[in-house]
Amino acid sequence: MNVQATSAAPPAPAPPATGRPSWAWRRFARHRLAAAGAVLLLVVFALAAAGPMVAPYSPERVSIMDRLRPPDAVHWLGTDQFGRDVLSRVVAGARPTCLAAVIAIGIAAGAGVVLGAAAGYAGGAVDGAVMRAMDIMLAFPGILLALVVVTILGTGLLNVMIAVGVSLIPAFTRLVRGAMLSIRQREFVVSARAIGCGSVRILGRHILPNVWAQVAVLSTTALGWAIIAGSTLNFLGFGVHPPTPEWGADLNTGREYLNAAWWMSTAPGTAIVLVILAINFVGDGVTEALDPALRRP
Amino acid sequence: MTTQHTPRPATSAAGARVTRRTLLAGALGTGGAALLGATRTRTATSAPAPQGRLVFGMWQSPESLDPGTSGLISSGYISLNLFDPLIWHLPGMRQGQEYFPGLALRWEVSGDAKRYTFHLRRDVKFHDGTPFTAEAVKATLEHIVNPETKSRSAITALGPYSHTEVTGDDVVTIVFKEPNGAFLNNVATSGLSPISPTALKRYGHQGVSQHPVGTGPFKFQEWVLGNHVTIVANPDYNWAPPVAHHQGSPHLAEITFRIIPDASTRFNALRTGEVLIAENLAPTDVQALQHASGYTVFAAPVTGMPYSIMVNAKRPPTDDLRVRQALQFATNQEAIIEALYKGIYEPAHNIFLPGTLSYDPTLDKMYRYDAGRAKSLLEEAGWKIGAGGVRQKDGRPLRLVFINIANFGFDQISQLLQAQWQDVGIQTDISAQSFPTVAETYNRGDHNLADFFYYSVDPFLMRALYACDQVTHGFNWMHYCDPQVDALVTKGNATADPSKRIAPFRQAVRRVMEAAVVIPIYQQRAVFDASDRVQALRFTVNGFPIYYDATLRA
Amino acid sequence: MGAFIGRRLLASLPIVFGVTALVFLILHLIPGDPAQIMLFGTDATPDQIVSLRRSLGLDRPLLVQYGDFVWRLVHGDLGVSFISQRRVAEEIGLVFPATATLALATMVVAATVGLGAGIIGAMYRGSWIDLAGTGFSVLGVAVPNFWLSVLLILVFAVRLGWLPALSEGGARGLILPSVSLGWGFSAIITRLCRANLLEALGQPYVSTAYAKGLRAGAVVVRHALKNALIPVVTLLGLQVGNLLSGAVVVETIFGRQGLGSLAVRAIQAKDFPMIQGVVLVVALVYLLVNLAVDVAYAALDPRVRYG
Repeated sequence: MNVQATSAAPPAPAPPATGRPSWAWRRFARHRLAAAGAVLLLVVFALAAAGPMVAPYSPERVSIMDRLRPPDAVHWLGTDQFGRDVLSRVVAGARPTCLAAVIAIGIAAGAGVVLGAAAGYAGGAVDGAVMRAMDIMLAFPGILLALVVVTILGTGLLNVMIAVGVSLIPAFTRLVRGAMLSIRQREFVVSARAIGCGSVRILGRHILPNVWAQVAVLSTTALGWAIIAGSTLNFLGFGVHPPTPEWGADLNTGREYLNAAWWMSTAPGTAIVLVILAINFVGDGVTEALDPALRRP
Repeated sequence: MTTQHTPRPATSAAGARVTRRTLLAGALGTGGAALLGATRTRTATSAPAPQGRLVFGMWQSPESLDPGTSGLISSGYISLNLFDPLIWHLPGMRQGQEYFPGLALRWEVSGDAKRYTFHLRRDVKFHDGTPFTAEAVKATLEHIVNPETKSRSAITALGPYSHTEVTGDDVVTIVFKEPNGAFLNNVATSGLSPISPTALKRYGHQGVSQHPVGTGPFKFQEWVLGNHVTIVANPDYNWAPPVAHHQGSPHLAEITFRIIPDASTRFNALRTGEVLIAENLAPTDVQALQHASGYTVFAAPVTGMPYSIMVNAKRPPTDDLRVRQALQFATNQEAIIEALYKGIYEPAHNIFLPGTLSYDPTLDKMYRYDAGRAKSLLEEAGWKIGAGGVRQKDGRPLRLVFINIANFGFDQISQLLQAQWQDVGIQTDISAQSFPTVAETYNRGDHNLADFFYYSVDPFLMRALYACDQVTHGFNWMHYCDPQVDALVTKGNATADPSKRIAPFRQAVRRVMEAAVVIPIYQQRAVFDASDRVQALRFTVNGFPIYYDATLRA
Repeated sequence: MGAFIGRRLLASLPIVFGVTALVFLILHLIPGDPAQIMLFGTDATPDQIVSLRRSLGLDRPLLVQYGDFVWRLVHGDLGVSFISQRRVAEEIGLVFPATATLALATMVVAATVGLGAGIIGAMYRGSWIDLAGTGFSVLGVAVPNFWLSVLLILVFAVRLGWLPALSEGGARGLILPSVSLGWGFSAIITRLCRANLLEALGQPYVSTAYAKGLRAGAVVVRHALKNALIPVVTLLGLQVGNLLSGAVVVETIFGRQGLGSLAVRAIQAKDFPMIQGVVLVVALVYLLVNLAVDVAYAALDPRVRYG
């Protein structure tokens, strides 16, 4: 689980705020994989929103008579060990899975932006303290941090995601700080300061808007990590409380039925794989669209 | 109380300990076939040189190889082969006889069950060459009671130990402060098996756990932490119990206990031939092996407590007897078996397993699935149907906290129960904590429902499970205290005469069942899935494989 | 260079102590009493539990306990495991080589796949080869480790019989676990390597190389790759913690001993000294690896100087 794959993202120097969004968008749309990924993600988010309403059956309804049915006309993706419709569980699982990942990223990005901005803008002692704290968190193995957080807070989807989110904080902090440092020296910031703008104003009006793009890119990638990390914690026995349908938990249950009922793990597993692939393609597309350095013949 | 009482978790979510109802090979249980085999082969006493390496896929790491220390079944699986008990308890191996000589040839019990005298064999040597004597028995028991040892199972199995009297080299008397009727059954398990006094002196109370020196048919060779333990044949072994198929050294040259935490990997390693026998496979995989050629599924009956749900009698709303009874009636064990262990395990309706002394089949009728009765009991207790079909009282929903032991084999069962109970208007919140953390949670009483089972060779197990003084730091996770049960259990242990012990234990069981603090789910067995190359495997009364007679077909 | 390493080591000390302080604090936030867990099932009375807690020093103020821990730490003593009663340093020492071997093999797999797909992707940018290479490596990160491991076992051990399902000592047993773990890491390397190569290929010195008549392959390998590798190496250094996370899963599924499974067991059992020991060792490895990465810069990039 790539809990703290951290600086995976920020190879590119801070892109300047792309003046003409439509260009960026066109570049993105030309990236076919990214476009496909975006469509898939939209579908998933739509499912997450519509949730159980579009599922053909109740995802939690137990029906022992129908257990472990292979895919057929009635149950397109078969049934699980309790006779629950696998398709319905995958569809209904979109919401908890996505919501959880979004919460984790929210925590990581929120804390990361605040800490990173503080460190990058204030510099000096604040910077030193924040970055040493991040060094400590980075040196602390992510999975252990997550396990310990879950041990303290107890199991359950939300707690798992808090655990994952906390372990992703350093990635965002470092990214934001790095971006801030480079932007701080840019002419428009220097001139803003020269004409007497206050710190808060500079931060809010000039610096942060330039950081968002990168935070957005990292967030997309981190969304994938969060889903994987969550499923790994499920594997270790710290996950959602049944009978909530969640892809990681269902995949882990299905793994134990791999020999008897391959479809049980295939469905949620494929959902995870597709979503993460989509996230990655979208991430690549966004990066290429925003980063002029990569726009070369 | 028991040799191995610490949870024997099943890795698979589906509960894993699945079985075949037919007993195979030399599994204990019914006498006939095993008896015939025994007498026939016993005439051929000359043993060929040990050959073959057996690899056993074990789900959990042992924490110690000293039977006096460990509480884990995985440790017991290994140490049973390294150490011999004073006597063997092997019911079913020979008609009309349950106990057989081990390191002791004869034994006597005083009428008050306070003094047990053993007459020892004189021809036995420990693996390190130390001769086995009465002093070794004494040293072992003193090792167990020494607080430094931090003994788990063995100290409970030993009971109210006072001291050991040595009368010459070959006579030893174990004296108890209080009557200990359960001792004969307990001394026949591996927990109290003698350890070399030389090794005890050399390695110390903790050190012997890594340097186990016993008298058993196999000798310790190596322990690679977190990976495997290897034991090899003891060529000098010549003191097998009389019901063994042969005498002399064991047939197998070497056994490796390979630690493989993941159930699917154990199954796959069995299929690739990397292990020849494995435990705790997913039930669907066991079912697949039953129908596949080339495999044998061993299913040994065990004694003690079935796989059960423990209901907290202190924490609301299960502090109300009617709510607990409603849970009993709302539970459909047959449906659970149908869903998870079809045609493999038997549903349980008693807090004892059938093989346990004083098991009373008439009590099985006390609670049978009856949703209507469950509903009326809940109504009676003031829980009325509210929003979403969940019952309410004083504006609060009927919501139970169900804390599973992680990877213990209850994940699926608890979800089925959740669905069954929902039908009568009970909401259940399921979570899991890993052992041993969960034990503390249970002791604190944060749960309404806990899961557990308890292997034991004697009904005195009730002491550990239901005694008032076991509530906050023992296994009494029902937080249930009935002084009358305590008194009955004490009475049942006041004699070693089985016929006199049965009545008080039966009464105690009835009281516990009437209090509805345990919901039995299924009668587990010790299930081992093996390549059909593994032959002549036998099992102890608590389902531990005995490898002494086992062979590997080429 | 020596002075640089010395200074970096010195700068790492506060981080090491920060990590120990953090883990210490967190451990004491975990609800639950190790003494009770240690004595669970031993028939111990509450008095005995209290006295064990005292003898473990758990009844003292937190600061005193931490001071004691640090004092013993600087004397090279990591304490004794609550569960196995073995010395923590000894037990970690026993399993460390297994994890280190797995980590190295994983890095070899990740670097081979990642650099391969990255270089090809950059050279044939936009072609189907680029797509396939990137897609392949990204697939590694998209498939949850525990699922991938089981699928690999099913295909290569059970169906084809080429490799063992269990990870034993030899190299054969290392292949499946390291592929399972390394594939995921290869995605990050591919992406970074490809992006950096593309950037490098646009630099004047590359044009110069082309102008000199060098073939594309030679240009990439001799000139562009060297510069593109620097961020890749940095990234690998930061993956130490992640490796351990992956190792937890892979060790469990392939039945390998190692730091990952040791850590999980320790957390479950509230084995404080063992948790502290594992975290400390991983933190040290992390710091040392990243120091080594910085030093490696000098080899890869002559512009970097250490004063």
